[in-house]
Amino acid sequence: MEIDKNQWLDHLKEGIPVEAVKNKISMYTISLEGWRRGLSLCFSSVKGSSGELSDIRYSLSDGRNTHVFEGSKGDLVTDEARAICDDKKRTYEYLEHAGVPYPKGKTFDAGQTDGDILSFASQIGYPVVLKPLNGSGGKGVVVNIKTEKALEEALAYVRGTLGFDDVILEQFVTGEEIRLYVLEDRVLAAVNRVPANVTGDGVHSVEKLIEMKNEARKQVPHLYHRPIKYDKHLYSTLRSKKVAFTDVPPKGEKVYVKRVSNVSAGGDPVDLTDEFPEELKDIAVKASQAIPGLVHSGVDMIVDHDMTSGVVIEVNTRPGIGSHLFPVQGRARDIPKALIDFYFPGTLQDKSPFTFDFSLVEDCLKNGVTNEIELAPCPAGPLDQEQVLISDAGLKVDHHLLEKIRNLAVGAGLHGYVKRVSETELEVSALHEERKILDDFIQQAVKLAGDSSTAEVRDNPEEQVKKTGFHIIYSESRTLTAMKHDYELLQKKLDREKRQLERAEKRISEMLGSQAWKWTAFVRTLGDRAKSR
Amino acid sequence: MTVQWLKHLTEEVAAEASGHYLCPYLVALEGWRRGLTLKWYKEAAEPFREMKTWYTQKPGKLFSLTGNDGKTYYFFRTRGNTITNRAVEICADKNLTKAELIKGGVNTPPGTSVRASQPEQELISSAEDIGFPLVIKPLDGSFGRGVFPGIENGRQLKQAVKKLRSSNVEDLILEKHVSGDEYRVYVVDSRTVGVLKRIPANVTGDGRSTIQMLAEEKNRKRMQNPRLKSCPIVIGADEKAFLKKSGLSPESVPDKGSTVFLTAKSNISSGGDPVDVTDEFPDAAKQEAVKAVKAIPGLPYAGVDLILDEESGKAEVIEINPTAQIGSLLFPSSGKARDIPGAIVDHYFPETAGKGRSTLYFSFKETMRPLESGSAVWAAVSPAAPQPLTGESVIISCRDHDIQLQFSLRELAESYQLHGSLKSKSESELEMVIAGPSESQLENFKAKAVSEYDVGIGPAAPASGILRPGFAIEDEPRKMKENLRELELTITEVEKKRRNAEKKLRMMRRSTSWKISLPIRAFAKLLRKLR
Repeated sequence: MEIDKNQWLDHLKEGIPVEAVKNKISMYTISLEGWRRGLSLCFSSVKGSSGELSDIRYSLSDGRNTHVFEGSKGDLVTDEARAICDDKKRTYEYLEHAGVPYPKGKTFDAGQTDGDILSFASQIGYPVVLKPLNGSGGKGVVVNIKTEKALEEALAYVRGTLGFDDVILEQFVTGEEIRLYVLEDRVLAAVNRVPANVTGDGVHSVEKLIEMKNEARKQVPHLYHRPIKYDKHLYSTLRSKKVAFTDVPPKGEKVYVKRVSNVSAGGDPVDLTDEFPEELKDIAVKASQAIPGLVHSGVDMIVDHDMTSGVVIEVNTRPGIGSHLFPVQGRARDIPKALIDFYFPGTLQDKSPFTFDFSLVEDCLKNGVTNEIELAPCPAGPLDQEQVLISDAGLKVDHHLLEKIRNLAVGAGLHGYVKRVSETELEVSALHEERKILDDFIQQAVKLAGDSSTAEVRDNPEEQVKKTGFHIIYSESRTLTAMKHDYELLQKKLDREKRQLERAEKRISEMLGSQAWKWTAFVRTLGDRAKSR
Repeated sequence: MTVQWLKHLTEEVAAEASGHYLCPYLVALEGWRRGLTLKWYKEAAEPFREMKTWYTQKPGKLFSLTGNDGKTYYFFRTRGNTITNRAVEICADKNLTKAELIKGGVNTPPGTSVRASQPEQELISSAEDIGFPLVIKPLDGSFGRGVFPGIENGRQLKQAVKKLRSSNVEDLILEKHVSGDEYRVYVVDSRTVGVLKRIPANVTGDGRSTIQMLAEEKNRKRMQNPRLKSCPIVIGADEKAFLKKSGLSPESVPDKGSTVFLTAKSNISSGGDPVDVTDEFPDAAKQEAVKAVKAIPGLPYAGVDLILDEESGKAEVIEINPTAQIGSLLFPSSGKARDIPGAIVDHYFPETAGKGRSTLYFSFKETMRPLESGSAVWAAVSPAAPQPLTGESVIISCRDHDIQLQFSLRELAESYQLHGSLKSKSESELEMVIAGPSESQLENFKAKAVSEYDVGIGPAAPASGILRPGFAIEDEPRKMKENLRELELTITEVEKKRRNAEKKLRMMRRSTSWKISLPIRAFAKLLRKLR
């Protein structure tokens, strides 16, 4: 799969650090937008009941007004709005009142029997969907229940095994699940999620294509840690389609390897803001406005395949915006810009190339020693850059020297890095608005490295300084967080390999043990003799 | 020589903050332990723009403390903003200091300011006005740099001025030499909190070792003192010259029990010993120090340098330091430590005085991280966990552990609201320090750890009294790297096996023998079904 980055926002193409991917994209991109506009930015940790870090909150301020955000939710979304959206039953009451279409359904509590639920199901008609009242992340949601018997089984699982006594039974509406981003009375973005799929090239096997697609997904910040997983669902989907891992699909043929469309299950986000019908957009706006105090939200709709009708299934106060910023197909929509325009009208968007050190912020808040950090402001105006390689045969590049140079740079207000290239070489790259300060610093850095050291000017556009602050880079500078992510991914890969190995070995031993194999032994012996002859 | 440090300020607590970072850390820590909000700032952060500060490129010297009522004070090292900039200016200029002291009726040696570029004759006549013997020193000097004591005549004065000129010092002060020993008195709000005597660098003989060996041995001991570890005794050219005066060299072997001085300078930074003399110091001299601090407008607390003539009991104030170091008073070589950080925080937040303090401490290095790279303007330190905490140290035995086990144990510990640390001791042993709100919480955690992760937990040993908040895995990054490498190798291995198995399977399925057995298999399947 080729990822077309040209459709992404210019200023966010490369700027997402590995620590900010997945569910932190909203926090990172919105705070970055505010910071680049010259707002002051603070991160603070939210502690859970037992003192553990449960969330990171950020606040932006222009000196007069301060707004606090959690994920993509700002403080102009009221607590009441959040309380309503967190409760599907109340959400539907408000939607009903405003005349917004939603799937008919009813909430049942522990006092009501499975029998009550079954009789309600026959009223609204099958197919139905059963979900826990206060579940999250799709846990305990059973879709497309077509018969009374299947509903009985689902009830035993959700109310019995999982222990969710309070459940919602709804009409099961089929169609495309569309996520819309609504700000006041405007739909800023609409995205469809297509189930995990690969496109044949006539050369590679399905297995190889999945592997290639997962590699490509890593280039999409939003999908970095959301590969197409080898799970039961994948095997059953392939089995039902009679597709084997070793099959080589013809060029251009799309093979869906899963049935659900969640991005977390390997699905592809596809932007369709421009082609999404106005009437359906109006429904989303109406849904968002139906809830008091909800100035912006993510509205989930199920829309039939020819996009003529749709119902609202959920309204989110804190939707992830990654699919809008980094779609696999279609154009990116600048939600952070719209939000900052809304919260801080009058501030101008600055296409500054700078980023702040998000991984440092996260590390410091995570290890618990620090609980609040205000970032140094984003540099305004153009900066001069200087990059040199300092070397000397007698030089010994150690942590002490790197620290000295770093302290010197931070003291002079420079941005950039000092990198240990080898035992006797170090690279210094620095930015400052005043040429003289930059030159003085380089001179002093060379002096620190030793009297006989030489400096050679480098011009490596790949190494453009974008991160503010002055950093020490060792040749191997993977952060702990990045290593942990890698570890998790590799662990999963190992599990998968082990499972496949077991399956193959089991199959081999079954064959070897089978009567058929034993009875045909003579054929193989003959064959071997024939070959050796 | 007996030494008694404060129980809540040990070598362990101060381990990460040394040199000029020790004092600010100690004051910040005291405030934090009392439940005040602590923030560290980068150079030239907004609240410090107007404050007189120096050498702040590296973070760790600028911080603020905020009380429950929101009242905030800003600090540069030990000096907070109840001390005015004017007071700092006065004390930085020995001539201005002298004028204020005289105005306040404080004993101070007569003196006058001169310039190194003045004609020698003028200098000599100024000196004669004051009268020999005298001291000549830079007007704004500190740490004993450029001080020439005991000048007896014009010739010695000319020599001293020549040296001062060559090191580019212009503004000087000529002062009457006062005989006696020099003391540092720390005064907070008209109360003498501690008195220190600084003994010049010295070694005591054992009858066998050379002076050089004795100095090295003493340096090893100094390494264990948070204040002295950054100030070892160095036997350089000056020290050798000093020894030579009494016919000694670094190779001389002093008699057992005899003390040999290596310099006349009493500075701690030149290898001197800080000795606490608070209890035996005469009251009258203490009062003179208190009077001196009062004499400077806008100076509620400071370190006062004075010379006490033991015979006459007269104390003469030489210098006042509003940004005084306090490490020597907390970690003396002999005597009792004096709680200067406590007195300073009492001054700013009297409502917290005597209300107790947490025994936790925070990692100085970790709190500096966001500031070191210039990425942050300020960073707030997470508050100390509520007291009291009970802690213990246990050995956890397991079949060769990996980092995942450590992560799991940390997660479990955190779910039981425990603080502590984990360290790998050997292939099959981990050392874990845990602290929590109650004994039962620790027991519950241990029981769960045993049942959940199949580990053995040894008997509990008392943890050192002081703990850090949060839960640290000490060798995490290194371990993580190793584990990643191992995991990659395992994957390659399993992958190879899997490929081979699949290849074999494919070949078996394609083999003629398997193909020709198809009717037999179909028949067998049918048979099974019929049965």
